[in-house]
Amino acid sequence: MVTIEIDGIKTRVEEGTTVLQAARQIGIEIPTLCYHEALTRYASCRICIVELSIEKRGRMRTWIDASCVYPCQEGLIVKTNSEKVKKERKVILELLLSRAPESKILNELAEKYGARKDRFESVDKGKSNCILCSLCVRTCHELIHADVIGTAYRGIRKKVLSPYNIAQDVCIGCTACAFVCPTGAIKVKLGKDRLDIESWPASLEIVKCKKCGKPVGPKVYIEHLRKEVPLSDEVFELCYECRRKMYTTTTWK
Amino acid sequence: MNTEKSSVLEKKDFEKILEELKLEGKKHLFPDKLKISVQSATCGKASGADEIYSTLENTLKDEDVILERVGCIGLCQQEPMVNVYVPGWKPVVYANLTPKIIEELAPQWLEGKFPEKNALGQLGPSYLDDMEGILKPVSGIKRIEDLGFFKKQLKIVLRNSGFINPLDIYEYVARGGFYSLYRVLHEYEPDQVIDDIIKSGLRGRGGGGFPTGVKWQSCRKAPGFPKYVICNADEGDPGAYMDRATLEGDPFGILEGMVIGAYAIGSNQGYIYVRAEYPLAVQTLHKAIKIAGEFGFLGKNIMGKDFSFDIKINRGGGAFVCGESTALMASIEGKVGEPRVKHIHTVVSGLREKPTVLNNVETWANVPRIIEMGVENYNKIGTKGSKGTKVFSLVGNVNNNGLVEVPMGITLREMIFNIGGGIPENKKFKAVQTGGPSGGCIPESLLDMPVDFDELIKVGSMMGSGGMIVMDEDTCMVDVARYFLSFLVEESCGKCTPCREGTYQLYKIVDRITRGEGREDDIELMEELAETIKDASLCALGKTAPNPVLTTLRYFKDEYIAHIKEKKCPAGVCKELITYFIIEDKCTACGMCKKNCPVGAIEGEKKVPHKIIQEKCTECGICLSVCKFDAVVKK
Amino acid sequence: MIDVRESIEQIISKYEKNSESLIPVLQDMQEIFHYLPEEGLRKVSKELKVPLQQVFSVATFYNAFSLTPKGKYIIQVCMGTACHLKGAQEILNELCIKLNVEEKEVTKDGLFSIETVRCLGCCSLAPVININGKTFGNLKPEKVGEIIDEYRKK
Repeated sequence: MVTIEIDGIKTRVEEGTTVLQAARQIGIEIPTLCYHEALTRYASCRICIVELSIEKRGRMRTWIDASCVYPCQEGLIVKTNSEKVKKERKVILELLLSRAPESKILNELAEKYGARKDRFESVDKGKSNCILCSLCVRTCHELIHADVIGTAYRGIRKKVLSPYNIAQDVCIGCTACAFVCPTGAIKVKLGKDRLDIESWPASLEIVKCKKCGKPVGPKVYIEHLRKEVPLSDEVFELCYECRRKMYTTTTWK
Repeated sequence: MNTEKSSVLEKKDFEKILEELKLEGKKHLFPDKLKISVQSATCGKASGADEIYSTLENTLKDEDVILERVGCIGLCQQEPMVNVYVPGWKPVVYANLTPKIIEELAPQWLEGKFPEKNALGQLGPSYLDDMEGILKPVSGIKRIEDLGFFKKQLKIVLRNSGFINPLDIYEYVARGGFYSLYRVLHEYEPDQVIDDIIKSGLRGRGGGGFPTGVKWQSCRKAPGFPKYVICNADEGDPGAYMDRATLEGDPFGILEGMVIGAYAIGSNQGYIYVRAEYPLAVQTLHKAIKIAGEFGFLGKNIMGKDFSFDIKINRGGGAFVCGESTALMASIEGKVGEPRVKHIHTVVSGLREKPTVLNNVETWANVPRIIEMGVENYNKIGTKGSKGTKVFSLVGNVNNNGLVEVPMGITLREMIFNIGGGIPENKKFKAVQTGGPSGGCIPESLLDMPVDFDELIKVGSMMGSGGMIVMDEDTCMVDVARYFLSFLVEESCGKCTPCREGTYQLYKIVDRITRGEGREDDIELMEELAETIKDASLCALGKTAPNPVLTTLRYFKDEYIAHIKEKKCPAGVCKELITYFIIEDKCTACGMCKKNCPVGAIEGEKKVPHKIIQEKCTECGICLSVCKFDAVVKK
Repeated sequence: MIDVRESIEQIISKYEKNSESLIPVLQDMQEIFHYLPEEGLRKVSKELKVPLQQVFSVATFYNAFSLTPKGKYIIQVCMGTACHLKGAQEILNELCIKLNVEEKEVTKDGLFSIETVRCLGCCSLAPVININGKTFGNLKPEKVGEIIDEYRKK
């Protein structure tokens, strides 16, 4: 256990706890975008930066670092909302807004920190709405193990894509990528017959409910689940409503 | 050659082996017949060293002469060069050669004569060691060590480059090579090696300047196995090529350093990561590693001791960011060169998350030399905080372009005006850029500052890998900032927001300013962006990306203001802000400018003063360069 | 015509079949084919057991690789600091005009492609270009045409 100070509050945490986790434990919120508990840390969006200070060899060393990865150590002093942090977070938001001007969360944070939406214009003029946090890529790789998408190129030209459009062949339509995307950049359209993940693109056939014809889920996804999860047929053949009706009529006979 | 080697190795006593190799090496260095060494590093080849070599082959084909290729001695501007050794005499270096001149001089060399034509100088004690007193001096030719370019230099890392055949291990041993490794393996405990390197004060030569011994110590103490040793040969700073010269001119020196380091930290596997753009260096290293292994200086049971160490070579893929240690390690692991978080030190968790020591080429090359001369002697060189020498590539608007190795503490003025011979065409000095894209520009007022790690940081620049680019009065400092920013935008890995987006926005602003579209609040905006990029970026590339802008703003703010407020480029570089005029009174209507204009923007008949049509003019400057009457001016 | 599949198998057989061999394998492929064909990347992904998205990520991250064929003669124009100060941009412009291509494009006859590099390490000879391993220094825009013609003759 180590003793640290966050925004003037002293607290004891297990060694190795990140500053972000330690702050949350005592109810201090630090904004994050590319961080997710279930995924490996990437520390790329830099919105979670905080001001850190520690005494080393009689001198106080102060610097800015990402709280989602920095481990707590004895004597660490953290400022999550100092003037410097607020100033730099504002600039980072303005840079992110140049990429994703329509993003709800970015606009909310912008209001809080006084960031201007139109201060900068990025290479794609914000059309993609993607801030390159790579949550979608990490999810598809680490949790879903489908490896449909990845990052390509580097620097300002970096983007997320499905190379050679393998999405059409290997995407299982779980839509976890769209779920985890902080800016809503990944567009999914559920049609009558097909599920379209427009960003990659992938167009997947939908299995329809045997009883009422409403969508159950993408065919590849259903077949994937059928192999992985030992559940009875109606889970894969009926839509949620019809299944409920079936369960209630059968149980409450 | 082969039979000598195997009979030598059969004797397990490596002290005797080294002595035999040394004797043989001296015979190679100073044979009993004419020997001509063509300086054939990449810059030599680019200047025509291959043609010189083949001309010599032809001219001397029926003669009993030794013809070989060596690295370069550093005065690259005067290449191609050859070193001519006539038995009994000190070797003489001939420069600025052409095949025609070779055909003229070679017969004279065969007769044992040393014509003064194209002679640069004769080699002295810094190369000849104990042969200095035995070989006869050539009359009428200066000593290399007395020439302005070489006088203040102190060659430690570059002592063999351009002199020995880089792949002749006998010659390397003859100059003291592998003796340090022998002493370390036979007389030192690993901790003693580390102790010596700490006491020597050696600091990383790749740019960070971190105390090398301390780095080794942290790695030795770190738990985990195996441990790795890496040589960073991804020399990416534009304008810096010191490492290339060392890799091509004296590869065994680097290998010896790495083996010593591996022994000190307890590693059995090393890697050399070389830029893809250095094919000759890669080739040379492969051969050197093979030869060193054959002689028992690499591989299993080195020098008969119970210590094994292997080296693999990894080629870079054309990404400047891979010069950053964690990105380099990611690249070796087959991944994209994206840096990792820095609070996890690579000495504890580096390559494959194992303890790793990564050092620059020049740092490794210093190690055997420090052991050889002893820590006390090494401490006598340099300043209190920066011991030893540093190799610089002195390039740009300076008379003597090339590689120089100087003791730390020498002033910038001595470097540029003494060694460098001053600014060409008698133009005025404006600034010197050190530290590559992470560094800064130093103005005239600071020319008397010493070259030292900490002093350079104080003025807003840094040592970096050793690029030293001299700029004259015709350089626009805003354009220089734009150049470095465009480089960084291209090379950013793109992982973190401040570097990827911020550096790009910073570039756009500076670019606008050079095109005459600067705005009132641009300087304030740049400073705000710069602060965030510096603080919030994940790695050193991002954190130092704003430096070119920050230092030029610090020392040349007036130029920025001229661009922004007056829409003028004082140095006459930024094309949108300059105009070409023809002075009527001076124009003789010779028609040269009109003829050479690539866009037909000049009009004028015979005997009528010519005029430039501004709307068509692309400011290429050809008219100014062809006018013999100074009638074309640039404003 | 080089048999793509066979050549790729030959290349991969030289290395250990794991993710660390990815970059050296791609480097060899680039040298032999002058670019990285889709078929090649798919085979590498399968043999080295690296997801195709990751292979593509690496193939597009590094400047040394290209997904489209390069010219027979690859002209690299050095844009290092010393070269920049001594007129590298003019050399580049002259090359683009003379060959009627943009940077990174191949000429119609497939002979030449132009790319910029970040310092060839011959700063004393600035400005410098490199054509398939041969370096030309101390260039002037006028000289560029002569060099191109020399290569055309070959």
